[in-house]
Amino acid sequence: MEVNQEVSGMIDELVRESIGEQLRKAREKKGLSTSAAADSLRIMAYQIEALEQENFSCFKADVFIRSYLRNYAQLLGVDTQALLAQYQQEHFVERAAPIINRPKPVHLPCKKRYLGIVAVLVVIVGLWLDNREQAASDNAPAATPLAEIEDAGLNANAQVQPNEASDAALAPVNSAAENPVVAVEPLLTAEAEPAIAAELDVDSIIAEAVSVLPEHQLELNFSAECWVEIKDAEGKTLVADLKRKGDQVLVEGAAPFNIILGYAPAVALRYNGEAVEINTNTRTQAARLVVGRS
Amino acid sequence: MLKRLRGLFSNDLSIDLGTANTLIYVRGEGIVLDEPSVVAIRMHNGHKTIEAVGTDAKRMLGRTPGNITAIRPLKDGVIADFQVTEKMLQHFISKVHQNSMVRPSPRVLICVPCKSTQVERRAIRESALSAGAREVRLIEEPMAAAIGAGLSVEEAMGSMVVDIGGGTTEIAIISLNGVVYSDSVRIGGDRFDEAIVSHVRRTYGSLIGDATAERIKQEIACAHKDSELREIDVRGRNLAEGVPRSFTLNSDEVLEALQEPLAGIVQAVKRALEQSPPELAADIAETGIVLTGGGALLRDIDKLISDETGLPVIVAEDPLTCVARGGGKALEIIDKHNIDLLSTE
Repeated sequence: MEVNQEVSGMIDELVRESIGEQLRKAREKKGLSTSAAADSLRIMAYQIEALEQENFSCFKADVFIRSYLRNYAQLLGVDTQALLAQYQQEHFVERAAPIINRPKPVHLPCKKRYLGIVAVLVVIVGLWLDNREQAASDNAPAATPLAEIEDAGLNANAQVQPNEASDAALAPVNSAAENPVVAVEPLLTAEAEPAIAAELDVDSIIAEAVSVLPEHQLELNFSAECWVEIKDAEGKTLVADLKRKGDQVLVEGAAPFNIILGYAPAVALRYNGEAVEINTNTRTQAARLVVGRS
Repeated sequence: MLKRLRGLFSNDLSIDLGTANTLIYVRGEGIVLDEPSVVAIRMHNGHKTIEAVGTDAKRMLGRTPGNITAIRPLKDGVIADFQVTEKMLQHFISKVHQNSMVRPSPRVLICVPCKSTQVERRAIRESALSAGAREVRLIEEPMAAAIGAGLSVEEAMGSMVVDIGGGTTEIAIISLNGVVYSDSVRIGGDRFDEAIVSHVRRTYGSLIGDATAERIKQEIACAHKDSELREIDVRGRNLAEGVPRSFTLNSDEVLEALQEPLAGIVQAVKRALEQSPPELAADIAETGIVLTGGGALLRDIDKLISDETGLPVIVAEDPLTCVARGGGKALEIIDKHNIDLLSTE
């Protein structure tokens, strides 16, 4: 039975007349001319002919074809729905978007909204970190030469170390940075061996910087209790102490020295063996002075 | 900044903010919302709260107790109540984005009547922005209607569109993505309803509500004298006796009642044809006038206009959603070609 129905359906399909044919036959049956039909539809006669010949390309838009077909079919008493369905089937065109019925909205409580915002922030931070990593890996080729250079430097150091002479030089130079007072002499040996000095560039630069500054000596003798604070040219505090009667302070370092004395009349100051006059603030008896300014 | 972020989770919308219905078209999804532009407001201790929006609120129209008022925030296609419009838009936008965790911030294209003033357009733009839109573009309604009806607006060929909405009827002649002539008359579906209400009061001495009038219009009203005669039973309050009475109306009576607003629309169409440049008039004579909007569903209105003008008149498919669909397509056109020809400012 089913097969029979299918076959009969196929036959119907084959037998079914084209849109134009149906319209033409219906019009002739009604005894209308194309121009009469066109008049009653208020369209051009050539448009009626185009519809009957299924020459749809002469219409400007699909909407006109469908409307004219509908109106013409109504005029002739042809089944409008069937005709339009056939047109739809045979001359496929884009349909209007269907209306989607969505379920009722559920209003989100505020907390969930914040969750959403937090989730977004997490994603953004993740993306940012990712970007940063990518940027870092992009920069990697530029970074490697630097690393190589450093490695080379280290290797050079390693090669130098077995050499006893340079070993001896190394230690004092390192200490020179910490204690400039004792740095002068070993530095000379370091300069005597320029090859090693060049290799120890960082340390030697500091040492050179120190060696450029002249070393000077300050001598303070106290006849009463007095606060003393001495800073060298680099701002490094050399002495900061309360001294008692009879105390003596000897300081060596880079001039000029910045000196603060709590009770200046009790201090006898000598700079490189020469006595220095202290201008005391008469009211507070304190003194603030700079010694050894060139 | 945050709006832009939220925008990632929002869809582009095209909104047909009509006097009677608001439709929202979402890109790639179609029309997702079609609800009456009605908001019910509850007054409680001097505070106004939104009771219902859309379909629920429409059911309350004319049936509310003292502390609830159901209002239509738009009149004649433009905003009459700014705050309520904003709330309504907010509600609709969030309804469309209901499955999104983040507060939506979509790009929005809104249709405005072509004769609306700058102030009215600004009001619509502002209310959409305060309702959470990231970016607002405006498009003239007949332009959107033409695109939605499937007319080839980008060609150098005149097309005439008559969009009969709830509050206004927009008439425009369009060519090359632009409006050559446009006119807007404040006659629409609402005026039809009012005409029916006053006709019933005059001839039957009974009062019917707007909702009943709308039902009469949808079920039996026609615009052409040769239309098939139909009848409907309606109930209204008899003014003399003060009790509800039922009576029967037929389509001929309704046609008589609608004569005045229909004549107004026909006049406007004729005026547009008179004003159109001759080349475009020739194009229109060949292709015809396209009707869109809810008013196009009035039985045989195409026949009436066709008889009056002598031109072919066609009703667009699914005329109610034409404007919203057209707005959606316009968004795509604007994006694709990066043109702002459609947007009006």
